[in-house]
Amino acid sequence: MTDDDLVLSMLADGEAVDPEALARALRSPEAITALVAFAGLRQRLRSRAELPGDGFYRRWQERTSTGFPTRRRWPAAARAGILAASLVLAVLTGVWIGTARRSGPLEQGPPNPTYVFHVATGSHTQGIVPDESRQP
Amino acid sequence: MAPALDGLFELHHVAVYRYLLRQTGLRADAEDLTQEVFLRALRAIDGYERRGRDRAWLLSIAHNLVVDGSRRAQRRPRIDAGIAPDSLACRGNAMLDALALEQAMERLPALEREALVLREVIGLSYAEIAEITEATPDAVAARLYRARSGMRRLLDRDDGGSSDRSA
Repeated sequence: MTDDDLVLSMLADGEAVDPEALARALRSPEAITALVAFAGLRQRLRSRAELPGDGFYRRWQERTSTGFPTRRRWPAAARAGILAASLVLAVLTGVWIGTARRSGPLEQGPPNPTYVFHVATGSHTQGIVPDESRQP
Repeated sequence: MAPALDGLFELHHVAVYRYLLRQTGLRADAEDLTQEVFLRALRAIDGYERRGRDRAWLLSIAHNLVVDGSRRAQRRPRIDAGIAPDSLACRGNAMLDALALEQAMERLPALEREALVLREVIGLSYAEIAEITEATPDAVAARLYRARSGMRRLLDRDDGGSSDRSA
């Protein structure tokens, strides 16, 4: 394959070609023969009127008259199911949290102290001075 | 959704069928696959952005079906392919010409045959063929040139052989 031949093939297809390359290709004595051959092949290929048989149209009619099989319904149904399940889960979680707050440990108050520190005022550098006012 | 598919079917089913007939070589397979193309199109039509390239889109689906079809490896000889009943009604030279064309197409490498069909039978541009076949436009140009050269050589040889036999 030469660049000249390729340019002629592209020209036959109506594609953009470099004008200088085209001029060079057209100088070849084989150029006209090649272009005529391309046109002849196109005519032969396009003259074939191939159509599907009657059975094809009958089967298609049967398929479409009973409704199109589609997979799009499944994802839509799945999405709706997941959304509904999420909503139910969210409501149930909220109810559970609310119930737990009302009846949980907070309602019983703080635990009773098991150890009490008495903090005395004064200088802490000389040790702890007993608070006599607290003596019985 | 279905009306949209109906419109696509009416406009493009012949092009899809002709492409598949040339690719599979069998009318029955081409008919089955053509219907499969439109059923797949229906499933994908929601995500498809229509930009006036319906035919290229449908042919892309057809191309993928052909590529995926392992049964093509065991297909019958393509010599019977594409000889439509109306073609059978043809007489004499027209019938021989159709057979010679089929035989020559059969002998082309698959990629070259596909490019030739998409260009000459369906009438797509290089850019559209490149998109469908997942190739570059330059590669499409090269395939088309090789296909044309190959067809020319094969048909000339057949014509020469016929002439020799008739002589």
